[in-house]
Amino acid sequence: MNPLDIGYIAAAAWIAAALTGLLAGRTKPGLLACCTLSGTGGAAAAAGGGWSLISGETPLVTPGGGASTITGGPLQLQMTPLAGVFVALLGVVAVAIALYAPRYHEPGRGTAVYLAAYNLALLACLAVLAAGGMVTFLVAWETMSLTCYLLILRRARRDDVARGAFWFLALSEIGFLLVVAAFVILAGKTHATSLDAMAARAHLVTGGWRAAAYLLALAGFGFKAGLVPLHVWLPEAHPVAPADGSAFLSGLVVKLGIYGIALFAFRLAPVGGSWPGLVTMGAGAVTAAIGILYALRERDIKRFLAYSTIENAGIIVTAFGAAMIFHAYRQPALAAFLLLAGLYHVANHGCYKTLLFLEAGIVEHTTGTRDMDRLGGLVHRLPRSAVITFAGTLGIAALPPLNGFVSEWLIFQGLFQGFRTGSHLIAIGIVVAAATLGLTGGLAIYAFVRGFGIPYLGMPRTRQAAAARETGQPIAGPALLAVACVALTVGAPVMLAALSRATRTVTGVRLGPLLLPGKLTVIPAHANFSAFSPTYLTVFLIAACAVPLLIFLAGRPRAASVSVPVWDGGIVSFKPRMQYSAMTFSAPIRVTFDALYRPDVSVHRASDDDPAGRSGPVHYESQVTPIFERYLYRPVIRAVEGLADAIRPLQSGDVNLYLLYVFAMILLAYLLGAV
Amino acid sequence: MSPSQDTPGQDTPGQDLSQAARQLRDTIAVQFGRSLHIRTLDTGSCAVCEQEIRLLSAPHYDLHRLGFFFTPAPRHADLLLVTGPMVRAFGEAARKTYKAIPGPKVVMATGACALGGVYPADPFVHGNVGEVLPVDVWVPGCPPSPLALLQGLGVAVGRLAEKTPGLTFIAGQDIAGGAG
Repeated sequence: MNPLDIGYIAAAAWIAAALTGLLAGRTKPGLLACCTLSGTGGAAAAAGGGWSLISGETPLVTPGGGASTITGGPLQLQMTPLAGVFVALLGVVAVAIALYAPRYHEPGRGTAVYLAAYNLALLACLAVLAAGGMVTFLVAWETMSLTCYLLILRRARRDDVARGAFWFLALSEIGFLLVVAAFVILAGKTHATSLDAMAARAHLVTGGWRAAAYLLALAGFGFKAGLVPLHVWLPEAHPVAPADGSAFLSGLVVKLGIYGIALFAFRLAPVGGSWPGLVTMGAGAVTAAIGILYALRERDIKRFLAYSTIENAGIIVTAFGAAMIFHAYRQPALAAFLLLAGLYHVANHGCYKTLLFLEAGIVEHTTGTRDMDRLGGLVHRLPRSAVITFAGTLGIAALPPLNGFVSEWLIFQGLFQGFRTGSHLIAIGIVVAAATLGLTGGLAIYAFVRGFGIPYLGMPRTRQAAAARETGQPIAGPALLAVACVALTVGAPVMLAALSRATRTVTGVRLGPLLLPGKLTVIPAHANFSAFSPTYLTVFLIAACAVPLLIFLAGRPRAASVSVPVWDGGIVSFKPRMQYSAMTFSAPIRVTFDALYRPDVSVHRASDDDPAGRSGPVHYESQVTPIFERYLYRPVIRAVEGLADAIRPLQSGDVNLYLLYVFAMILLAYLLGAV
Repeated sequence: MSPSQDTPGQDTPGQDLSQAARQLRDTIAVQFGRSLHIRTLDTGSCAVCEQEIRLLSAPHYDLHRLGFFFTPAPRHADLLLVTGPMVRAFGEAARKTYKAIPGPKVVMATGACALGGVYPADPFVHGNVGEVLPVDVWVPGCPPSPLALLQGLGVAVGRLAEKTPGLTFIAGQDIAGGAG
């Protein structure tokens, strides 16, 4: 038995779950059975992924022998430790969603189809990760895209759902074509279809082709990973999908894009020279900064989280890019270290972003809105959700003691050692990327103070927010992920040891002893640079919080004291309107980065119409079209539409015209026959 | 009624006046650690009282040398200086401000409006600061001259001292001698 066999168990469970969901999803017991099976599959996947990190690569297998009728090529499967990280994450996400879904979804026809599509998507994701050959990979990849498209379409009749789903599908398909092209180049040059053979014969591919394949793959997978400017589907599709669907998209599907980039960058087409690394790192840094800047001006919680996903994908890709640079400059230890840090961030982001999306679903479910400016005061109404969301927020804002801090610290420590490349220009490039990530990190804290503070703290801004209730909400799923976040912090040494095995299979560097000389202390690749212990830090921070509490409990003031209300400036009563709104809170950033947002502002005063009157209501409207949509996508869409308009006269709907076409064709056929 | 020629300048001090000033300063020094903080509260005045209050900080009167200071924070204040006829909309805020001042505290109502001489009680105005706050010292005048205000402050310090017999916030009591 090996990790791949456990993968079969997960796959079988998910197939069973998909069938159960489709056939019995209309009833409550059917829904429960489906989710139980789905969760079982998730647990199996988590175990299999984790095991593959310990046991190393499994041999390539081709179940069903040579050519399979389903894929049109051999079905090749293999579980590698690099994919194992993602498989384990897939398992954890699947378990959390399985705990969440039965209470979130009402039994019904739509739910039945949705659950079937969701479980097939899980299966497809597993197949992408366990694919040992190009054909298997591509078929699984396309299946994953299509099933995810169905997930987004759950509420197809609502506004914007079809639009968001179409953005997802269209960009997925463009990306898919690029990925196919990248694989075809490699397959053509290496005469191999299994990933192992491609990697082994990578030296047969000339540098130019290898670079072309890598760039095609970067762009193709970049569509899925949400690299700017290929990210447009995320903020469109996430808000319209059901909460667990968007959690799955952000927590996992985006990560598969990142897996694809890592697969090409480190295994299939490692390019010589530093420029592909610089391109990757630059793309990542720009993605991170742009992502968080757009996140800061979103009021819709799920759009906000979607932009934050773009930011985190950027951070991970920056780490990968820097790893490629270090690889090119013969710093294998640092390259492996940055790859490891990136993978750690993948795991972290998978946990806390899934958590935040599931919690956003709870908020939407109980208040009926995702607009931060219509929420507020939820901490009193959803106390357990607030605690869980707070854990996720600390994680994603990269604040100690939670897990986001650990991986971002590792990434920064890697980037700060850019001087070890020996090239000043490259070192400056890496430092600029680090500075960009620094800006991103600061803005992320700002964004998540806003993202937690506006909906959860203060006073409810609407009656719906005031009426929010926690009973019956699916807390268990996000709670599990909060525990996972804490485990990823306290258990950082274990996690690092496991991940170092994954990086070892790819880069060949034994990072473990270098990284963890003293069990609980982490040394970033070079002993004379810095050191850090997430475990001790967590213990210390908790102790540091406990000390003042103990002092307070032990030494209460003994003098007579008077309790009076807080001085509020003499205000008679506070109104929810007096609070900071989400938009005013982000106003400093919106004003500073006005050149990026380019809002279309329209101001209309009542007094404009009536010169005599000087007062009256003022109508202010500010709308932002993201620059990429405005300058990149809209012209393309307009050109396609223009072309379609030009062709349309052919299809006039006039029967006589069609008869004319038939006549002309027959005439042409006769003439050609006569010649 | 702006300060006129009978105001003592720095170079021609009236004997008894400087005597009174020294006494006041000594009281503040001993009782309040050389600093007694005033919170002003405008409950709808026409702002002329405020102009006179502002003149107290001018070099002619210079109430800081006596140990009085203005503060915006009621938590830091010892004395609430109220002007205006106490419009009803402000009643709650005035009550809250009074509550926010730590004891011992003293309230000084300033100007004809505050004393109830200008506006009769109606749906908009209490017409008298005493309707809302427990006033200790009344300072008449429309507006009261700075010197009248100073005298009122002197009386208020006396009331505060009465409210806090033997209470001092500093250990050494001979600071007054050092500054004189």
